[in-house]
Amino acid sequence: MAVVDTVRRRGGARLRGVDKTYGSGVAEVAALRGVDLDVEPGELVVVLGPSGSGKTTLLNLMGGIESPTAGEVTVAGVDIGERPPSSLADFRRDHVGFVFQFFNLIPTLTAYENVEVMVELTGRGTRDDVPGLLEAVGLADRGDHFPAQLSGGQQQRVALARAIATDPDVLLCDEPTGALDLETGRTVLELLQRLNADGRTVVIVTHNASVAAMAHRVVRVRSGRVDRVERNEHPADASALDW
Amino acid sequence: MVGTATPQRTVAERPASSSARPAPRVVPPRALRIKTRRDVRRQLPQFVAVAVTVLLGVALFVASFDAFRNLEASYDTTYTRLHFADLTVTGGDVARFAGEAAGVDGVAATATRTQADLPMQVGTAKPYGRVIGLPPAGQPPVDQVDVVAGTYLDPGRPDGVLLERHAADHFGLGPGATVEVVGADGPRTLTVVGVADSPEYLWPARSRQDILTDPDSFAVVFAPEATARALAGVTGPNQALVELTPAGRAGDALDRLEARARAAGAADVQPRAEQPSNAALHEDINGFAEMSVAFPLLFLTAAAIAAYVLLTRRVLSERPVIGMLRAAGARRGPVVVHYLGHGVLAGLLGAVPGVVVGVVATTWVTRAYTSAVDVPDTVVARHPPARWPASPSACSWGSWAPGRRRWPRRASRPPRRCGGSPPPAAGAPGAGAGR
Repeated sequence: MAVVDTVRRRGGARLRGVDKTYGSGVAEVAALRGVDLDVEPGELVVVLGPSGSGKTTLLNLMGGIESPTAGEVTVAGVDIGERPPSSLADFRRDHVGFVFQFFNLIPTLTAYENVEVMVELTGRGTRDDVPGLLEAVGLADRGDHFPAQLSGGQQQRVALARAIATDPDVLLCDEPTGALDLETGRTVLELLQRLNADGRTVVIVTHNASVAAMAHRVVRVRSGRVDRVERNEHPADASALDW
Repeated sequence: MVGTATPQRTVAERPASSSARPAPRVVPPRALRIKTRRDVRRQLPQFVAVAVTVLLGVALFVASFDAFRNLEASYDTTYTRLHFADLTVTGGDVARFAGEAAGVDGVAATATRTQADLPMQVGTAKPYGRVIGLPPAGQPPVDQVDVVAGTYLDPGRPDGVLLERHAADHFGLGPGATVEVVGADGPRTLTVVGVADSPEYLWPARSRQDILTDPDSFAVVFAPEATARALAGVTGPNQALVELTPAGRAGDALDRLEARARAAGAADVQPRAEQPSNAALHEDINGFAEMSVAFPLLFLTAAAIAAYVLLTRRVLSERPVIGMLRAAGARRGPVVVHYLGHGVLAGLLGAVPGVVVGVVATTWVTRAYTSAVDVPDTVVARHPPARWPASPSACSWGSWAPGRRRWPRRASRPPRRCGGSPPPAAGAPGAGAGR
């Protein structure tokens, strides 16, 4: 599946010479070292790598959750490398959506309310948008269900609805299928592919190599460095993935 | 397959970017209010425990602090009504001193009298008691007495006396009973015509050195002045009393009077603050004041710690959720306010009934105390709730520390099982959760 030219492609990211170090002295750990990476607007990129290779750190830097120790990070045209934390919150609200492995739904709120809370807290959109968002992820009839009343796949779809509630330019997904079985994982990936087809940039971090088949490009990370970048001339349809 | 078309707003529809931050909210968003309500319901026992601790703290504080102020007011009312002396001068030329003192600025009234400590027989006990002279025709201008049973002294009955209430109660004596006083001319039997309270003996202390007097060894008898002189074996008064005006108390009248008294050869000059009963009561009342702060403080500290533990558990269990909200750009303020709200709620749930209980208990505590000490006047007043907000504040501070944490990075970590619901097994519907 190719990037459709008729839609407005947005997002994108550019990393130059990015280092990220945690701790100091003998406890210093270099999570990323000299990373250069370009993600085109509207592209679907899968970042692959073993545990501890720096995938999540890379995602956090692109999402403005963390700041690089050195280097430049530009996402959706915004240089976020040296922004203060409060400004990064604004950047995230305006440009980035997150999907995590563990859904992170509020257990005491229904699916509807879990999406609503994001709309209200970020001030992007209104409560009236919530039914449409749930419908977009196929959960229009599950709005009044609590997370514990939903399957893992349904919970991840609520998380997706919540992530797109702010209409982000870039959707960053950290092991979005990690807690799901094949069938539900595939459903979530289909949704991500559709969101990408709408023009959003989607970056999926995973250790599941099968997911790479749906990407426009695959970035392989090893020991904090970008090891290899491969272009997929013919990205697979998510519904055809198997693992 | 899932879903339909992905909702996509146009650029024009999108709210403006970072330059237009969401307006600061005083009221948390609707969904967070719902969350707070359900969180409280889920942790009801813990919330109730915090609220009850706050309730106890507030009730204790309101009751004891207001009772303390009521006691002060009760004493002051009695002192004012019975013209309690600001200065008691014993020995020397007390008549001359009283005459001079009457002309000093800030002096409201002066009086002289005779006082003597003499052996007595009251009931079956033989205390070394105190005889105090009073004008038989009417109350003296300073250090009056409050007759609570029987009648005041009668000029036609020189052997008729008033027995101070503590002794009367202790020995079970009333009007018509007799006491024997061993005076300068030998034993003399006096008849009790009335029982009286005195501002000098609200706490029956013989002296500053003998505050805790055994009731069997100390009794006070108010006798006609002539009788008191006869018993004491003196021809003139040996004690002068001075009452000051409020302005006199605020100024230096007391210092000037003390100097004059010493110049007049006084053996003992005792300001009101040093008067044994008053000093003892003030020590007691000061202890009460400290207790009225210390005990509630203990409870409110416990409430703050409980709120801290409760909220820390909740915040820790919701770290990934908080991280998710923050990662999505939710500003820190509303998130902090949300968790702070838990503490404020618990504080208010305890503070409001605590105030009610405290106000009711104030009356009870004040009356119980004034009754136990036999304070003639009981003042029960409600005081402005200046310090009551301390209780919700205590919980707020307890909630502040956990509430202010921020963990955007925690969003990618698995949830803890501390209070929150873990995701169910992949693909399997979870157990039902009621609203």
